[in-house]
Amino acid sequence: MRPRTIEDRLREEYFDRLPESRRVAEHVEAVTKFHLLELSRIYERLRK
Amino acid sequence: VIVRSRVKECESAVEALRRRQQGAIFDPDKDYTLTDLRDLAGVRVLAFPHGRIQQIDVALKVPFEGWNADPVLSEEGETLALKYWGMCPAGHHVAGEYQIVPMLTGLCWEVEHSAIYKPAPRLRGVTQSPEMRKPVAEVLRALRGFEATFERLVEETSE
Repeated sequence: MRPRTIEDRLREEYFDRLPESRRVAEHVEAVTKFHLLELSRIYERLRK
Repeated sequence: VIVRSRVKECESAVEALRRRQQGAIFDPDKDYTLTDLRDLAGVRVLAFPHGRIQQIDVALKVPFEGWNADPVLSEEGETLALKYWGMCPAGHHVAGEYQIVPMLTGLCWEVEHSAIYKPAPRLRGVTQSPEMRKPVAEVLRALRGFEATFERLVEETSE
């Protein structure tokens, strides 16, 4: 059998880490949206 | 203001790590990990008009205190976008990243990214060629000019 390449090992690591990567992305998105809520409200009021 | 999150795709992540190596080649005697990438998981904040970038930057410095600044620069050294990376409670190994990007520039990057990564591999050489870099730089400059003029005119009419 052909030995696994570095790329193959990295692909395996990618899918092992995918749940954590998704959690991080969702966490940063949630924190960002929360802290921009007030700014968004101000912009919304200015538009009216 | 638009906020979008994404996890880098598998092949993009492997390629990004490869590009960081000397000569863009993996050394078979070394161990590599994708957790060295700072943008495996990230958020892009698209802001319009340009003046909002500073306000957003200030607002996000509080929750992301201690994160490392790594702005995106043009070839002329001009700041195209603000970028920060760091660890968050949701990840033990994977770093998080957020970018604050002028909206038109960010949308242009999305088109450019699609043109580079989505089409057939034979087209990648075309979109990344030095000949294409010039018109891309001109488009980005024109978009920045549009945003700056728009903002100036809005300020003048509201005075």
